[in-house]
Amino acid sequence: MNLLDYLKPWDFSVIFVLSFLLLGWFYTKGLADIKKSQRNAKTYWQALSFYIGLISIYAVSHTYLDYLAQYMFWVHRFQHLVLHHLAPLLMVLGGIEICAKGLPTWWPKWTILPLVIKWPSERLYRLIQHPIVAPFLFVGLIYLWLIPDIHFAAMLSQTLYYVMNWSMLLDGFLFWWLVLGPDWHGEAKGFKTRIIMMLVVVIPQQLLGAYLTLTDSVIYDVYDVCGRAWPISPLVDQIYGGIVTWIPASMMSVLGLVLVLRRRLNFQKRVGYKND
Amino acid sequence: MIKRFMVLCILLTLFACAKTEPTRLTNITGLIPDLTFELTDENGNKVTEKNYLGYTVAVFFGFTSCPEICPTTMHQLSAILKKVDTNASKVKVLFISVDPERDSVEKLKNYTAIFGDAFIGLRGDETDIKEMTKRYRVTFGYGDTDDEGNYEVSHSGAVFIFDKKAKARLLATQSSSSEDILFDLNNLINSGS
Repeated sequence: MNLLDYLKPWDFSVIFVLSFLLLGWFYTKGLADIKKSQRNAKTYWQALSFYIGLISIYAVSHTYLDYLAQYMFWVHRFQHLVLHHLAPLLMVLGGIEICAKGLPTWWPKWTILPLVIKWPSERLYRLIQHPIVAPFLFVGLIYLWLIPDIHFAAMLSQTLYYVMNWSMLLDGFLFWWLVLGPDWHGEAKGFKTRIIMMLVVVIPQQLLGAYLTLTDSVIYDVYDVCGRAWPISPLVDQIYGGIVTWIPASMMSVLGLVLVLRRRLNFQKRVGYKND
Repeated sequence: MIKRFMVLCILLTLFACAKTEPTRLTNITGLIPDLTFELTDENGNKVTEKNYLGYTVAVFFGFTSCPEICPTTMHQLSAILKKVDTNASKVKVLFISVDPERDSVEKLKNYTAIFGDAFIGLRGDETDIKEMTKRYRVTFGYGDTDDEGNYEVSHSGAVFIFDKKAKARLLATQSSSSEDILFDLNNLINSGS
């Protein structure tokens, strides 16, 4: 296999490629506008974070990695780690809201949309972004797609496979946006809630990871049914998958906790200086 | 609430398939595409799915040097076919090689002869087989070659069962019991479809 074979999408998706290009374009345009209006704006780290996040979504969804993720449990767990944890967090830290600045003028503004769309969407958004519902949904989705029967159907049906991956990505954005989005600058209000949210999501992920790693029977037979990308013992595959769910996934949540603390400290410093 | 809604959607999708007639094996009607292929059979003839229209077809992706899964599944199917209610000649088992490098036409013919007349070995280029397995959401891969030129092959352990019109109907896995396969196979043959 040459490099091109690794980069070739396993299942080409027009919707995916369009979303990827548009998001990249809007962000780049928004960033250029910021640079134009504020010459001294330091955006290198933000931009780097955003682009790494965006490219990593592409890498796990539209290259040879996507093939491996469909036929190897541990690669599947790695794919979800990127889609649900790493990429959305990086993109939120990279200022995903900058995309809004890059939207073309003809792009319909949210405020002028009819009430029948706006009202239910806003209600739904408020519900799923509730500090009690959001962590529940964040962990719940991981568990849901790992229920053996549902996992079996998702891996066998291409449509369900897409639903699974898109839902993980979307939920990742929603959750990290709630925790580390631009609405919270580090004020005292909302600080404790964010800390608790981050703590709450760690334990169930660790339990799940430990369960997958330490169980001595094969839980997901769909990989035996469909075959694996290369010969590997089913239990070894499951143990690797368990470790990916257990350690890096919970470490990402700890990283989230550190980032919340850091934002709070920076805010206190800024306010402190002002008061001095 | 969202979670509940999603569970409901998924369960509905799953049940939508099972609603028509309860099966013991996994019902894959509508979930997996119909049978289509262009391969070479064990007699060296070019064949397509059209050659098997009118038969209930069980498809298995394996290789003749397989130490365990392939012979076990083939023996299991062979024993089941002897117990099928009606004429077992209405059923064909297509053994599609995922190791065309080692599985020649002759080797396939000798291999399937062990299990009975209903068993037919098929082969094709690795790319053709890959394309076919992709359509059925299965795959295969090769391990490292040892000093004697042997290598391991990872492959699907599933048996896809298609009706007489080449529509995907059932999926038997390594954990499916012979009783369940026989029960569903009888129902499928007798249903006339």
